[in-house]
Amino acid sequence: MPPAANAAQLGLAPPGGAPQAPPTTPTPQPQTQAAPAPAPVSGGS
Amino acid sequence: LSATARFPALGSTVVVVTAEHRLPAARAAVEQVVAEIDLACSRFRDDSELTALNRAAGRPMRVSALLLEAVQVAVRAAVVTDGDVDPGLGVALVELGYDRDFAAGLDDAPATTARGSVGRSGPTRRGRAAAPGRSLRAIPGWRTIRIDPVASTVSLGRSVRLDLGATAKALAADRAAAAASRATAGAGVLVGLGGDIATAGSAPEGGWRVRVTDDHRAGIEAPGQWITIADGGLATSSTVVRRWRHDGESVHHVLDPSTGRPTTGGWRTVSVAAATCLDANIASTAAIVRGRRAVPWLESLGLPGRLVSGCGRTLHVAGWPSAGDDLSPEPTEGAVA
Repeated sequence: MPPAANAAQLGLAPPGGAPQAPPTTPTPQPQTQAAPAPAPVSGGS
Repeated sequence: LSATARFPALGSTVVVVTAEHRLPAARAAVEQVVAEIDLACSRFRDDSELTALNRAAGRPMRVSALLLEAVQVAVRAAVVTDGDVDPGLGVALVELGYDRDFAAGLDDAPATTARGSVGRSGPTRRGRAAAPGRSLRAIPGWRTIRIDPVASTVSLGRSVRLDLGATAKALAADRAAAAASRATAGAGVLVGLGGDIATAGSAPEGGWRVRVTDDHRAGIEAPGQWITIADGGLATSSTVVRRWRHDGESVHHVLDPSTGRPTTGGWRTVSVAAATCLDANIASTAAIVRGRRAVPWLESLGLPGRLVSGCGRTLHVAGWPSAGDDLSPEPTEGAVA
């Protein structure tokens, strides 16, 4: 059969919401709280 | 409190982020999915199903449900991009020298920023490539792929070899995030696989915070942008990584199917957010191939994107925020956005 799939499944779907710029002011952390986990990075691979 | 696990897989680095007490179960689920994808879809493993399919010389081959799905989504990528994301470029990549893992011996071009790259995939200088700007060969590509979902068979054109690199990695990220969330009673999980990000479950308050850069290995100090995403996936395609020298020329792994040569479309890096990591990856890869034509295309699909030109100027489209980007905007951004 041809490779084309069900047309209803074809469109690229946008996210539920666009990415946002995070707050510029870091939220104060309690002194007893562990350091935040390293942030994930999206980049070329 | 969230915690992060990192480990090498699929020629890249896997990152798993979830609540600290959920991390062991989430990591185990991700490791299983990634191992399954590797065995089914790796172009570099002699024992993978894909290698067997590529050696089938045009004969239909019965495949696992996982490889069947991976081929189906790769073909869908070609369909929705009018062939700009073509899984049938395996021969062209091999003839450019990209025929083995980087770890097995590579000849990095100066543009790469590779460092400490355990298990990365990479090329050699074997094979012959056409002169720059000339077609490497007529590429029959994805249109020769035949799928029989009932018999679970796939066949390729006799001269076609599949490379599922882009879509299989994104598919793995989506499947891994979903599996990890299931394994942790629906906890919020983020999986990063070589810079492609998938999420499942509820995001933490304020969303998942992600650094967007040219190279996922460069870390958060590299020039880029902080963003948050609440759901779905995020993928970045770039021509500044996975580069090597071939016949004295610096080449990269994103090929233009119309020429069989590395793209010259103008964007060095494109990041896209979508409902899934797979869709984000398809769009970001196609945008690299399409160059300027990608801007109205992303806008028309409502896919937020960050596009970086060869000289390091950024264009933010379809709702991608411009605030906080380390790179300067393209002069035309105001007119496009």
